[in-house]
This record gives sequence, C-alpha cells and structure tokens, in this order.
Amino acid sequence: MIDLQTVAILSQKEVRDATKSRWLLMFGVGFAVIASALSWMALSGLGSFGVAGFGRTTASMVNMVLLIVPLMGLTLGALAIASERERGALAYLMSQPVTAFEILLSKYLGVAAALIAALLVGFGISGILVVLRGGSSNAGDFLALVGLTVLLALSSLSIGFLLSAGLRRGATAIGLSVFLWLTLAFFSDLGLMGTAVTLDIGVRELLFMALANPLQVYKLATILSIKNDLEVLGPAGVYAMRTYGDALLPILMALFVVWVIAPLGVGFLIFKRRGAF
Amino acid sequence: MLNSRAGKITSTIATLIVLMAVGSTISSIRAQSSGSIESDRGSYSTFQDALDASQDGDVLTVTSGTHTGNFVIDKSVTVQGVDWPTFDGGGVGNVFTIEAPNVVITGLIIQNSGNKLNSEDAGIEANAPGVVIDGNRIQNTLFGIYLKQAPNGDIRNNVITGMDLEVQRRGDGIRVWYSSDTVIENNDVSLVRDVVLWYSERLTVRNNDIHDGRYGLHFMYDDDALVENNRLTGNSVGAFLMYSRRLQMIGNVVGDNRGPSGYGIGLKDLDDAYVEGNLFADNRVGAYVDNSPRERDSKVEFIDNVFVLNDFGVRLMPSVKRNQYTGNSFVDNQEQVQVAGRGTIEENDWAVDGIGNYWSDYAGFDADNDGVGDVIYKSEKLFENLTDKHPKLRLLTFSPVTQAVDFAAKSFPFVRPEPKLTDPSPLVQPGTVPGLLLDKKVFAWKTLLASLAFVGLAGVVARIGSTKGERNTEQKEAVEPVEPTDPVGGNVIEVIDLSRSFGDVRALQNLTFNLASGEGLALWGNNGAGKTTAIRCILGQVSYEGSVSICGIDVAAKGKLARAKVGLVPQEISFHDDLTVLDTMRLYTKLRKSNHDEGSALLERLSLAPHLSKQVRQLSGGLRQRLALAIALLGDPPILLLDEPTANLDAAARQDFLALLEDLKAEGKALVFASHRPGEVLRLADRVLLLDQGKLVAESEPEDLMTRIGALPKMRIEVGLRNVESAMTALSNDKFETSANRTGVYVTVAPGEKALPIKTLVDAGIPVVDFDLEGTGKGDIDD
Amino acid sequence: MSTPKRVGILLLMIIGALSLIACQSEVDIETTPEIAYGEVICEQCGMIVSEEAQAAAYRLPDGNLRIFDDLGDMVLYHRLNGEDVHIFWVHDYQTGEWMHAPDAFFVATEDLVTPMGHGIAAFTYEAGAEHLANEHSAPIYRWDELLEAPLADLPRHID
Repeated sequence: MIDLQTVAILSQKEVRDATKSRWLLMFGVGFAVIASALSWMALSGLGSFGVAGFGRTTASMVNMVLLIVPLMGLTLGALAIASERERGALAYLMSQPVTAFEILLSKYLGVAAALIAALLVGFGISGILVVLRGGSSNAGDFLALVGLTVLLALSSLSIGFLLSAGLRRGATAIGLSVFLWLTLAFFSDLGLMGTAVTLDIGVRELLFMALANPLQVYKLATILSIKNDLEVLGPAGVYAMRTYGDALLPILMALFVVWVIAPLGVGFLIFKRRGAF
Repeated sequence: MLNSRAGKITSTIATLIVLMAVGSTISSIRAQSSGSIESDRGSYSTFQDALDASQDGDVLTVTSGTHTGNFVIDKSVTVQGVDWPTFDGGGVGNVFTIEAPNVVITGLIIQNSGNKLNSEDAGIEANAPGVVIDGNRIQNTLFGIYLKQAPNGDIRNNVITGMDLEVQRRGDGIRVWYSSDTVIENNDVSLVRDVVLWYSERLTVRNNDIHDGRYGLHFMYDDDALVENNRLTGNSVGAFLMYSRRLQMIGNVVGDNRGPSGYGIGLKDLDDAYVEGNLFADNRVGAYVDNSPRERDSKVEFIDNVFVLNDFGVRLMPSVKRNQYTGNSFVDNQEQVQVAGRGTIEENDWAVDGIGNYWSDYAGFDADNDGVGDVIYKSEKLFENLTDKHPKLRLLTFSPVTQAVDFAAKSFPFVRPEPKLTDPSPLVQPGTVPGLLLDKKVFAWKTLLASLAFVGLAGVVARIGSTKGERNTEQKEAVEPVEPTDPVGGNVIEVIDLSRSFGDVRALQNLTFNLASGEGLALWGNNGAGKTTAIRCILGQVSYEGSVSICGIDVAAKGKLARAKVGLVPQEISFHDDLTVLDTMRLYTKLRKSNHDEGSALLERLSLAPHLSKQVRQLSGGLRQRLALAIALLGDPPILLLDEPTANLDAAARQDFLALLEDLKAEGKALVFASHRPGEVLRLADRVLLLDQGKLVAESEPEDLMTRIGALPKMRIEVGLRNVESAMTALSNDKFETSANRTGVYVTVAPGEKALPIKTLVDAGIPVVDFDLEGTGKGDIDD
Repeated sequence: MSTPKRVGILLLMIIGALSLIACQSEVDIETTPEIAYGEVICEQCGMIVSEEAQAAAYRLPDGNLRIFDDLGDMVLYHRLNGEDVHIFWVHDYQTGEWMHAPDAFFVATEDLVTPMGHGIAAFTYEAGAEHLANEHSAPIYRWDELLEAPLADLPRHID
C-alpha cells in the first residue's frame, strides 16, 4: 500500500531540494537560454520567409533537446539517491515510518516535477518570444514538442534513478551519468552508423536497433507528430511509416512509456535490495 | 362624400399592396426553384430553353436558382450568373461541355459532375478556342476545367474544389490539353489530383493558389510558359516541369510539398528554364533537377531564389550539367545540395560573374565588406557524404551524432570527403524574396497562452518547493490522530536468532534478546562488533535472518508499521541543513503522523523553542541531537533506538542529553542503544549485550561488564590513616565498593558519580583531604 | 587479448553474419511485381507511380525490380540503359491484370491518355488490340517490335 499523504509530503521535500539544487538551476537556465536563443535566431533568420515557428524549426529544437534534456534527466536522476545515501540522509529517512517504494516514488515525482518545471520555463519563454516577435506557430505542434520532451526528460530521469539505485557516491553518479549520456547521445549512434555501414544491415534492423535508444524514440515520435511523416529520416523512416502506418505513433509512445517505467522499476528492485547504505 | 372617396382610395391602395406582396412572394418562390434566365431573346424558365433559343453573341443572365443536367453550349454565348445560380451535373458526365468558340462563363456555381476517370467527367469541358471561364465556383467535380484543344482560353478567378477521394481516384483541377496561349490566373485549386498542362505553348500561370493535391502544376511539352507569383503548397510536388523549353518560373511560393517523392519543383528534360526569385520552403526537396538542360547549347538558371528548411535544398541527378546558380540563398536545409546517386555535379556553376550564393553553413568571413565571402564555400560535410552513400543512415538525422561526425571531419582532414560543390564567391548575407511568405502572419495566441501556462505551471512547482508552500499545505492537511501506544505488559522488542551476513562476513550471528517498556539495553562492543547492524535490523532497514518483532509487529513483513513504534537517534544526524528547526520539525511531524501540538510540546521540552527559526546548520551538536530526539519522540513511540547518541557531543552537552534520556526511560520508554562509553551504559542500561565480531559474547549487568572489562575508574580518597576504617564503613553502607589503602580508600565509581563518595564521606563527618582517579581501564569512561 | 576471447568474438561475428544472411528473404524472381502505389517513384521520370492500370515493371536476374508509371517509360528507360532483363511486366488495358510483355499485343496512339503521354496500351488478346487499333487507326505492335520500333513510328513522346 502506498500512503499518498507520505508520498505528497516527501515529494514536496524533494521538489524543494531539487529547486535549490545548483544542477537544476544550471540546467534550467542553460536550457532556457539555448531554447530562447534558437527561437530568436530562427525568427531573425527565417521570419522574413514566414517559416519561423515551432512546427517549422523542429529540427533545431529536436537536436538541442536531444543534447541537453537527457543530460539533465540522467544527472539529476543519478544524484537523487546516491548523494543522499552518501550524506546518510537516506538512512535517516528510511528509519522513519515510510516504505522504500514511497521514498523512491516521492523522489521521482519530486525531481520530475522540478525538472519539468525547468523545461516548461525554457519552452514558455521561447514560446512567448516567438509569438511576440510575430513567428508563426501551430499550438498543437508546440504542445507535442513540449509533451514529448517531458517524456524524454522522464525516461532519462528513470535511467538516472536506475544508476543511482546502486550507487553511494555523488561523484560516481555524476561520472556514470555523463558517460551514459555520451553513450546515448553519441556512442550508440556512432556504433549504429558503423554497424550499418560495415555489416550492411537492412533498414528494418537499423530501425529496431535505433529504437533501443530512448533518444531515437523521442526523435521519431516528435518528427512524426509534427510532420506527420518520417520521410525526412530516409529509407528507414519510410519503412517505419509503410510498415506500421497509423499504429506507429502509438507504438512509439508505448516504447516511450516502457522507457519511463522499466528503468524505474528495475531501479526500485535494486534500491529495495540495496537500501539506505 | 369625401370620406367615402378617401375610403375607396385607401381600400384600393390596400388591395394593391396585398396583391403586390402576394405577387412578389410567388415570384420569389419561383426564383428559389429555377431562377430566372434573361437573354437577348427574352426570359426563360429553364436554362436549356434559353440556350436553345440563343444565338452567337447573346448574353444569358442567370439569376440564382438550381439547374440540373448536362449542358452543351454550342453557341458563342456568355453565361453570366447573378446571385450564384447553381449548375448541377447530378453526378453524371460533364456539367458544361463547350463546343463553340469564345464562350464566356462567369459567376456560376458548377457542381457534381460524374466521377469516372475514363470518361474524364468535368465541371467544364471546352473543345473550342477562346473560352473565358471567370469567377466561378466549381466544386465536387472530378475534373474542374478541361480545355481540350481549346487554345487562347482564359481561366480566371475561379475557386475549384475537387472530390474528396483518394488522390489516385481524383481528377485534375484544371487540365489544359493541346491548348496553347491559355491564361490561368487568380484561381484557387484544391482537393484535386493535378493541374495538368500538356502540349500547349505560351501558357501563362499567374497568381494561382494550388494546394493539397498531387502535382500542383504538371507541365509536359509546353514551350515558353510563364509561371509567376503562384502559391504551390501542400502538394506532393509543387510543380513538375517536363519536356519544355524556355519555361520561366518567377516569384512563386513553393512550400510544404512533401511525401515519398515530394519536390517543390521538379525539372525534367527542360531546356533554358529560368527560375528566379522563388521561395522554396519546407519541401522534401526544394528543386529537383534531372536531365535538364538536355540540349548541348542550352542551360538552366536559378537566380535569387530562397531555399529554406527543405530536407534537401536542391537535388541534382549526377548527369546534370550547365546549371547556373547565382544569388540564391540556401538557408537551413537539412542538406543544402544533394547529388542523387554516384557521380559528380562538377559541370554546373555555383557563381556567375563573381556572384555566388548564400549558404547558411558557410563559416567564412568578409573582411573587405563587399558582401562576398573571402574564403570559398565548400560543401563537404561528412555526414551528408555518408547518407548519400548509405541513405538508410538518414535515420540518424537530427541526432547530435551528426554534428559530432561533421566536427570530426572538420578537425581531421583525412576523414574529410571530397567537396560536393564549391562556390568561389559565397554571399555573406541571405537574399530576400519580398512579399513571399510561406505562413501568413497570424498572432499565435494559442501558443502564447500555452507558453504563459507553462511558465505559470513552473511557478506553481517552485511554490510547492518553497517553504511558504509547505506552510500552506500544512494548514490544509488534516493530521491523522496518533494511535496510542498500547501499554504492553510484555516485551516491546523481541529478537530471536537474528543473523545477517554479506558474503562470507557474518555481521551478526544468532542474536537473541528482548526488552520491556522502561528498560534500557546497551549494545556494547568495538567498531564492527555488530551494534549498528543490529540497530538497522531492528529498524528493518536491511535484510536479515531470524525474527525481529516490535510491539508484536514483524519487522521483516511490516517494516513501516514497526518503524512507527521506534524513534531513532543516530550518531550524527544528517538533516536538510538549510531548513529551519521549525520546518524540519513540521516535515517529520507530518511524516510520523503526529500533530502540531505534540511537536511544539517536544520542542519546548527539549529546550529547542528559542531556536525555532534557526537553520539546522546553525545548531550546535547538542542542539542537533536534541532535535533528533525531538523527532524520534514524535508520535510517542514506545521504543527509542540510539546509535552512539553522544559520540559527537562535548562533555556538558553529553550530560544534558543523558539526563533527558534517563527521564524518558523513567517515563517508560524502552531504550536500545549502541555505545562504547561506559558512562552511558551505566546510566541508561539495565542490561548490556557484549558483542564481538557479530557474536553475542555475554549478557550482563552494566556494572559486571564494566568491572569485567576493567572499565570502572577507582577513586583514591585521602582521608588520613585514622579515618580509613570509618570511611570504609560509611562508603560500604552507601553501596560503594571499597578497599583500604594506607591513609586513604579506593572507591569504584560510576561515571558521573564521582562526587557521591565524597559527599557520603562529608555527610559522615569524615574529612576528605585529597582525591585521585586511577585505574580508568578503557580510559575514556566519561569526560 | 586472450585466445579464448578472440575465438568468442569471432564466433559471435560469424553467428551475427549468418543470421543476417538468413534474415534476407529469398526473392522469387518469377512472382508478379508488388508496387506500393502512391509511394514508389518511376525509374524513368521520377514521378509517383499511382495509376495501377498504367504501371509497368521489369525484373532483373538478381531479383531487383524497376518500376515505371507508364509502359512507354519502361520502353524508354530500357532503350537508354539496355539492362539485361529477366521479365518485363505490363498491365492488360482491359482487365488490369499483370502479364508478361512478350505475350501482349500493343496499340500506340496519341489519343490514349497515359501518365507520361506515351499512349501505349497492352492487350492479352489480339482482338482487343484490334478493336482499339481500328478505332484510332493505329498500328499493333508485338513487344520486340515496340522495343525496336523507329522513334518516328511511335507517338511523338518517346523521344
């Protein structure tokens, strides 16, 4: 049984801790600045052709999100448990009448709320900027972009939690999360490129291999929901569209949900075994 | 008389008015059904009658009404609609078939042709020259306007909407077939397959808006056409221009043309095509060029166009030569220029007369400010090179890895691909296409609203995280009543055969003990003896073998419930240092389901009241431990668990703290504490478990233990030789352990009681000359 | 690197390669062409192949398929590229069924509107071809003749 009141209290504490964290502040400010700068540059560069807006400049936004948001989620997630474990605060908390699941859930909810808030500020500011400077924007595209980015943040956070569940040093957590970020954002794609070229694998295999990476799931889902097509991603994109058609977006969303829940679930099992120490 | 005349006049007028009213009603009813047709020959009730009676040059004015049928106009008449008369084909064949030259059709709604592709059912099919089709609404027809060997036609100001069918099953919005010198101007065409212009020379296509079809324009064998200021959007291909010479395409907006073979424009087998000042935006491919020009002495010119946000700005087949690109702007296309397939595009000019093109990925500079970059532009991105060779890698488009790959290629020349093209005179400022916009400017208030909501939502989260928010929620939350701790007669803690091991290391082995209310139990041993492990097991924080139950609750099964019965005071508490004492207390009050009053009372009792607004980090060690104790006591748990609670306290603070604990024990709390300080043990423990390497070595009275380990200090009190005997008696009476020593006595003293023997002696009237401490065993018994 | 490790990696690579080969399904080069109408692009003109009745295709000996939106484009493309072809496929003008081009009778007339204006129709039965040919006073070709017919004899658009 989950005691919702306990979860509420602890989540609130986590939100509080997270909003005071310099990591979140750093990421939040960075994200807001970059998102706004991108929008601003798009407006000045593309506004005169009537193509400045969230639906149109998806590419640069997706690219930026892929770079920053996973780093945010992974790091904050990795710190969430490890640093408290290191300070002993976790042990004290776990001596209170709360369950491990309540603690994990509260931490996740609290950090997630803070992370999402940081993203919303960034998107909000750049959205206001775009509209006030006369950019075009389809509200649906904007919401899709924001919604999916939130999902990406949640899945990165889950993976961060999975890391954190077994660690007891903040520094290790940071190091590992940065490594994992490099892997998800660069190494895995590089590996994919190498494999695709040397082994000459088919588009189907390439697509499946790519979707093992939540970043690619995000990319496909975002492009699909804004452009209604994956043509821009070449033969593999066309293959995906042709094979799955209207089911593709639900499939991607389901994958995404798995990427949120599964790492958190495994993280919980590890956390429960490992406990506060 | 006058009255009667006046009455007559009045009634006559009234009658007239009534008649007029009735008459006009009747006529309006007729107008509703078939309208009226006026021609130079008279008025007709049906259009067919009017047509039959008409002669060349007549004007047939049709006022409103609906006319169903398939009408063949075989005289050179003008059919002119007033108030939008409707001509309905009834879903069969053509609505109008024009067989006479110079027919004018204007102001009509023309709808519901047949839908058979073989018979090419159309709204208007013209088989004669010089027809003018101006300002009509043509809707739900398979083909809209079909000029079949009908040159010199004029198609203007029509709104043509096709049938809502699959695109393959639709007809063409406009089809011009062997009809040279046709002008197509200011039409809006949508929901059709194509606008087809075949085998016709000198066509003018101007100011049309052609959207959401397959091929916005499809030219085949049309020399000398002018395509100007049109909007071609949302089609598969904006304009497919084939097998024609001297086609000019100027000032068009070509955007959002996508799909598996989506092109803004496609040029195939075009000679001397001239493409100037167009906006190609957000197409799959801005301009696709295949085998154009095909003749040796001709060329294709792209001048001052803007290619922006296309997946591919320009796609050239490898065979393409003699294309000239000057003054164009390539802005943020996924791939600015693509070569479709193996081969080079060397024999094309990317600058003419020292004027190249603007490239948004140009990284050069313009030191002399002449608008032309001082370094040549080379298109040599590695990722593009890879995707051109392995198109499936395009799946990684937008991924950060693409930048990494390109960066690597920039840094390491040996992986840099051959440049696909070079522009010797790249422009440093993008060009403009004045007045051409893909999206019309609208105030995106929904996005603004969403953005504001996002910022607001973030504010709410920040508020939840702020202390203020916490206060508010506390006031709202109803705190559950605290369960009274049942005064168990028996044991509050029962530990049976408790063991815990990690791998080969046995941290705890077969520990068994129990404890009743009001009892104190010390866990004694060195570091690593298993004290802390035992405490963690009792709290259910780690897994273990054996059983631990607290107030009858199995800890392994119901850890949370059990923990509610236990208050923990750790060795050094790790709080949230930036919270105030009050906020910390509030947090744990809620967590432990206690209430505000109890919290306040505890703060008062533990003398924390003056420090409420201090941050925890500002508290002294003693106060921190008091706060920990206050929290431990929330919810009035029957058991207190203390892990070296005074280890980090100074002497004074330690005494205070122990006194508090003694009181609590006296109030009935069961105390379990880990310690290696004899002082604590003697003051708080009724029993001591001596642990060594996880094993229970002995269970004993505190004093026994102390003696056994030589832990108790002896005090040598100098009383003078003659007083030794009486001193021994007095001290023995007060239950001190004594032995004589020449002029003094040795007394074993418990920590914190060193003054007591002296008091006993003084009370007994025995003067104390001097005293010493010796034989302190462990050395750090107490202060 | 230790020897067992190396052997292990080698084994993994072989298994991987084998499974990849196994995954590639054998193409039966005799089967009728499958075309994703509205998506595939004509090999010759680059336009979308959307009219099934007019589509044509040929299969290479290696199983690869070349797809055309107009029978005439197939003739044109084959003239330009001269590939070694296993089977030419065309649609019967009357039934819309696939058939081998060498079995068909062809009528070429400007009056026939086809996607790229070549105006060629294929018929399983000579009678059908004759009917259309008479109607438009056009000649009938067999496949070999069509591939080699002088350009001037065909409707103007195969150039």
